[in-house]
Amino acid sequence: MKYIVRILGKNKTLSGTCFFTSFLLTLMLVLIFLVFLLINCRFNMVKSRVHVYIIFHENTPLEKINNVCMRIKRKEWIKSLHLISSKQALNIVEKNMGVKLPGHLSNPLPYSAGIFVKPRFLKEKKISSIKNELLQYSSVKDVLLPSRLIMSYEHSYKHFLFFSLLFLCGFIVVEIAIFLLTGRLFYLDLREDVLTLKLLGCSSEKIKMLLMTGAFLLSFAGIVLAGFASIGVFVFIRDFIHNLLDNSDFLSICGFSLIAVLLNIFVSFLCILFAVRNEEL
Amino acid sequence: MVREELVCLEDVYKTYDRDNWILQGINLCLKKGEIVKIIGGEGSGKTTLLKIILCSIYPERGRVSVMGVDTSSLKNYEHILLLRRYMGVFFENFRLFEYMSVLDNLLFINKMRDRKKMTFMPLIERFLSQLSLRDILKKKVMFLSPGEKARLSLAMIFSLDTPIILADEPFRYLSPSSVEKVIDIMEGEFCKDKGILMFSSKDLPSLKGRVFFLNEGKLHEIHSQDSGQE
Repeated sequence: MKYIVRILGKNKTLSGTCFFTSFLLTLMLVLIFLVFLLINCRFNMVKSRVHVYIIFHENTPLEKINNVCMRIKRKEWIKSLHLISSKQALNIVEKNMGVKLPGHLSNPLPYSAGIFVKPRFLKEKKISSIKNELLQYSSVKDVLLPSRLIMSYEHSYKHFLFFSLLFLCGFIVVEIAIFLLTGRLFYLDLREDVLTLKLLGCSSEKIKMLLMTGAFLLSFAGIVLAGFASIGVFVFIRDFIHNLLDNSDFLSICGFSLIAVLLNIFVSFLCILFAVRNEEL
Repeated sequence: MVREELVCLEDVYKTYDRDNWILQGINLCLKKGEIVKIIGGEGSGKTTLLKIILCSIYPERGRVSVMGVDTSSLKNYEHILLLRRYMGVFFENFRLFEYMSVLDNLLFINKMRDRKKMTFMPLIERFLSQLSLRDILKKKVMFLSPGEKARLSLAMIFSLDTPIILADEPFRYLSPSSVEKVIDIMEGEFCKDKGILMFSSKDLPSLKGRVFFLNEGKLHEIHSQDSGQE
């Protein structure tokens, strides 16, 4: 270990470059994950504001409506449900449309319920099956879906997922290239020492192990530091983004950060393996 | 007395461009307990000869054997590295680890060669004293004078305790007192079972041994220790 530190200290600028390359690449990857997760949360937030309306039959007793509502609330896809009475519905119509129902006419509007579906169920196919499920209740007359809005969100979300994946793949390719390049520079800087060791009969395995341990230590230190730095970034921006995220989102962020760190450890290890070649000197 | 052959070159030819022969029909044998000095000017092929013995390059013709192993039969690179373990090499440009201290250089190379501490430590202690390196033990090699580097490099080679010692211009930067110390080691008890092959541009008469002159790729024996002829 002592000699590995000495070797790393040979060219401090290059060692520093290797360290900061790993640090920056990992931090960037974590931040990219964070940005994509925040966009994802924003999508979910918008999706969760999409209303699905249930219209009950006009003469359904309130007791039965309440019973149906209770049963709907137990469904796994439900986020929230609020019952709208005939009077409340009339008020909304009068307010929104600016018309007043003449006094001699009775309220024609039935009981209805506005429901918010969990964002992950707001997909074209799933929402259709939810509609069919709701229509099976005898007291439900109709289910109103903002189908075009859902389709539009779904379309945008697919684009977002495709772009995120493409960007991540591109970033990882660039990352591999940078890791390979710095690994090769690290090796080339020590090539004369490798030659000396080989001329003095040291085995290739021992030399390779020495160089790989050195290079991996540098990159590992950078990656771990980036992991800690990203925790610092989360703590710093948590107050700004807390309204966007719930606990599960924070868990996702932690999970993705860990994935980013592990991914970079793996990528750097593979790159070092290729960069440190066994030349016949 | 039949001495064991450590390095043997038979009818060795080497060229880099197929027109000029750097080595032409070299025949040389280094035996146990023997010192062989090869004298030659610049470009005479000394370094080429050293590289051939180290299996860094191969001759066009002829046979080279080290410790009885025909080097042309070594197909695996790891076997070459294994064979080099029998050789301690002093390089003209020292080939030290400049960023390490004197002591670290000695310890590092021994550890990288998988040698046991109890084997190499007494030797390091001994040569640190014998070659007056104790005062600069913690000094980084990059700050040493060429003479100090030469002494360190020699201490490194001796501490490896190899049966073959190859030295390219070992005395060039040494002071007369250091030359005497190195000669004492080379002619002393420590090297009595080793073969020393030395390459230099001028002879050092105070060091006993067979002397060869390398000129235009050909080797001429100009002094034989056994016969005492010149």
